[in-house]
Formats: sequence, C-alpha cells, structure tokens
Amino acid sequence: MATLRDIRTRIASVKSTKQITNAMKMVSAAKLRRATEAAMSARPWQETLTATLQRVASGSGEIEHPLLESHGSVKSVLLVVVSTDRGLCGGFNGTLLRQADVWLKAQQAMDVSGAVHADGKVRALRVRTFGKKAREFFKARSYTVEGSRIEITPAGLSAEVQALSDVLVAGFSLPADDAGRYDEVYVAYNQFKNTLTQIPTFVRVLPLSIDAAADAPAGGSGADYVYEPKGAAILNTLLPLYLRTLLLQCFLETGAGEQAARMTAMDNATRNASDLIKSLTLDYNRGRQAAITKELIEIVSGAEAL
Amino acid sequence: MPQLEVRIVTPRAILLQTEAEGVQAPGEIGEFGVLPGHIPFVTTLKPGVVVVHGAGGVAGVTRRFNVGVGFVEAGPDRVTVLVETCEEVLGSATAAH
Repeated sequence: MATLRDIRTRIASVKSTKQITNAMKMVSAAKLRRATEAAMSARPWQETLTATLQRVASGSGEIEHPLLESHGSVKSVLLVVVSTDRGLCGGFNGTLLRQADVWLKAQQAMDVSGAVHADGKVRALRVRTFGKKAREFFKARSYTVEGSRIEITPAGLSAEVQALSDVLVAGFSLPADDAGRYDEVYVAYNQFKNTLTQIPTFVRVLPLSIDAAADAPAGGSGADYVYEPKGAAILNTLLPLYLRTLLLQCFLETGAGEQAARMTAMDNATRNASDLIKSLTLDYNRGRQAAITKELIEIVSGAEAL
Repeated sequence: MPQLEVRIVTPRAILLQTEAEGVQAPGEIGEFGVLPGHIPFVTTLKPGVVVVHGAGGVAGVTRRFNVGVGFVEAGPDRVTVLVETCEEVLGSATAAH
C-alpha cells in the first residue's frame, strides 16, 4: 500500500504535469488564432483566383493545357504527405499517416487504369513528406521517399510551396518514358473543419481540374472578358498560381489544425490531471485520517491499560 | 468624375482596397493603364510597379506598389490586382501641389 509520503509526491508530480499541459493549451490557443487568421486571409485571393479560372474555363469553351490533361494510363503516383514536426496533438498525425498507409496500399493494388489488379505492384508509388512525424513514419516502411522537409516556419512557407510546386510541375511534365515522371499527384493533409474536427483528406492536385462555373460568376457577363495573352498562354501563368494556392491551402489548414488538435488534447490532459489530483487528495486525506484515528486508539487503549 | 474600385490582393492579405481614378500596371505583353469605363479584361502581370492614381478618391494622390507575378482583372468600374508578393514603395504616396 502506498504510504502518505508516496501519495504526496504523486500529487506534486501530477500538479506540475497539469501546469505544463495547461500552459501548452494556452499557447496553442494563441497560436491557433494566428494560424486561422493566416488561413482566412488567404481566402479572398483564393476565391478571386478560382472565380477567374472558372470564368476563363466557361468563357473559352474547351480549354487545353498540359497541366490539366490526364496522362491516360497511370504508371506512377506521388503522394505528398503534410504532417507536423511536433507531437502532443492527439491523433492528428497518427490518423492521417495510418490512412496514408492504407491509401498507398490500395494504390499498389491498382493497375494503370485504376482497376484492382491481382498481382498489384504495377504502379510506381513515391512519397514526399513534410514534417518530422511523416518522415519518421515512412522511414520505418518500405515506400520510396523522394524527399522530406522538416521545420517549415510560417515565414518560409511561401518559398517551400513555390519549391514544391516547381518540383511537381517539372515531374508531371517529363516525357512518358522518363522514370521520374508523375502521372498523378495527390496531397494528404488534415482539412481544418473547425477547432474540434480535422479530417484527413486526400486531394488530387495534378492533373489539375477546374470545373467550369455552373452558376453565373459574380459580376455577371463572364463571357465578355478579353484575355491578354489569349488561351493557353494566360493559363501558363494562372495554372501554376492555382496549384500553389491549392498547396498553400493544405499547409495553412494543417498549421491551424495542428494547433486546434493540440489545444483539444492538452485541454483533455489538463482535465484528466485535475480529476487525478482530486482522487489522490481524497486518498491522502483518508489515509491521514486513518493514521490519526489509529494513534488516538493507541493513546486511549494505552491509558486504559494503566 | 467616375471612380474605379481598386483592390490589391495577395495570399496573405488584402493590401489595398480603395477608390481611385486610374491604375497603371506592368502587363506581361506591355504596360497598360485602366480608367473607369474600361472594357472587361484579364491579363497577366510581370514583376514591376503598379501605380494607383487618385488613391482614396483624392485627386493627385499617387501610390506605388512593387508587385511580383500575378494577374489583373479589370472591369468597367473595378480593378482587382492579384499578385503573389506585393509591397508598397515607401514614401510613394505623393499629394498634388
């Protein structure tokens, strides 16, 4: 049985753990606000860009551009996994990485047209990771990891996205017989739904898909626009911008989601610590009372014996 | 005098949202200007300087912005400049005498 002294030490240690988790929760809450602001401030840009692309798409009828075109048979697939550097954020990374593993296994079982193949191993699968958690996860597994980037600061994010999109576009544009070519590129990231929910999401970024706007775009008279330069030339600028926007969005949502997940996890930890302290304190007081009672009995029975 | 509604948007923020008399921008196929009543058009930008004339609806106030790659969507009464990077040229706001 634990002595009173043991319980006292235990209470002290749980208390200091609680202080730490509570502090981490506060820090995450502050960082979450900044991260959601960053994600929000990217929105006007994104909406205008998407609207313009849709207008180009619906205005000029058939649009053609190498980045929009499917390669037909899919021989190689790249998965970009966006995780975080630090843990202590609940199942945030774990869920995503486990699903990425399942996703890759499913891809492995497909042939070039996407049908499930008996033997599998027809598609070449490659992985690019962001964040330490994804790097550790794939290190222990037998996938081809092309590149790993860690410790991406908010300030360095634009450059990182730029570099990634350059790699993707270059790989996607290689000739069909080149071993380094990507036929399809997907991004796995945690979609930031709200503070409590982040959804592991797999999104195809190449070939890009732009749905012609079903509804009339805001501002109306979409077809009357004059484009300079015309057709594919303007897409040469707009599509890479669009790709970068998609990628940036994945990173920003991961950033916001990480803080939200950590905040929730640390809130739970703090609450658990409080519960533990309460029950330990109860044990301690009970033990102390028992000791006092025992001593009293000893004194009383000692007095009676005289 | 009719005014243009000018917006300069980057992935990080809306940098400028104001009324103006006219906008000059470095289009990929040549520098161009937009005044109220311009036909609707979309063009790509190369890195350069975007000049906003009569910014804030005050005649003679000119503001300059260094911009990176992006594009412009111009309509009869509004101009939206979308660029990846943008910074106002310091001390560029000049008032008329």
